[in-house]
Amino acid sequence: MNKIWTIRELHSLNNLIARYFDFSSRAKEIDAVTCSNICIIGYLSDNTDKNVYQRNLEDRFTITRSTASKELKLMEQKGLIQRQSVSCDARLKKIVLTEKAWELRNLMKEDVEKMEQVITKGFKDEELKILYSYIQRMKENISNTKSTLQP
Amino acid sequence: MEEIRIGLELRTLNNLIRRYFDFSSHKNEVETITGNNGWIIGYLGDNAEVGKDIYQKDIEDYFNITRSTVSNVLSLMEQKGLIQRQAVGQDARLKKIVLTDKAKEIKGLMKEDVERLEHTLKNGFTDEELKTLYEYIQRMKKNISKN
Repeated sequence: MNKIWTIRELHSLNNLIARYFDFSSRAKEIDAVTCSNICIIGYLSDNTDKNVYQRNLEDRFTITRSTASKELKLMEQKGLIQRQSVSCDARLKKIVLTEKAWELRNLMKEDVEKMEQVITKGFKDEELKILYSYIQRMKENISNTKSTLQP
Repeated sequence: MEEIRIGLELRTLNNLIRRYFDFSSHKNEVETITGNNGWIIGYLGDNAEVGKDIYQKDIEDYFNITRSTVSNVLSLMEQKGLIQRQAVGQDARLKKIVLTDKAKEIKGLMKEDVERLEHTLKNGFTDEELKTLYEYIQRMKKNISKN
């Protein structure tokens, strides 16, 4: 067996997933909604039981602060989210979904579930758990060394 | 634990990988190289080492990028003096893609970064686990391609 280049394999798999989503997503047909918009709406709707702040999004999606900030501004312009001040601290704004975003959310849910089904077709629960644990380990590996690379 | 969402997990892992390269040591030397150029140079270099000719079609298949994208990327790489397209034998339509000296130099610099990251990612994984991971990735690729 040839030497396995994990990075390249993951890169090409990700290309496939992104392209599949581009073609198949019905939510995306609505109002120039992007893939990242969709991921963020999904996260917000899964976490209605607690307040979500920009910081939570940065952590969840491993995006930088400036990316998150730009992304949220655009989503606000598109009428997908609102930022609301929280009583305890005026600087802290929680992010909430608009009605329009909730409608999108229902379409999206079907899109995402379908994609998950396609990707994981033929995988046993046990195998999915193993795959998930591998991905977590790789993320930890890379996060642990990042500090030594930064200038 | 949240419900497992493999698609999302893979996406965030890929973000981390991309960012790792943004901070990597030789970023300045290879600045003219965009992300995709880097991948293609690496792929061409590895195959040149084992004496295998590579055509545009191979790049499309390997990276799962469309013909028009590959065509654009290769044209730009030719303009930047990174690759040449050489006709082979009787069939003038078939051109193999080879790296220029300039690209080979860049590849040397990138190789260190890539190998360090591979090493980092695989830290703590047994050979058996890596084989399983590879097999899972191939199965997911096949699943998507069939659709």
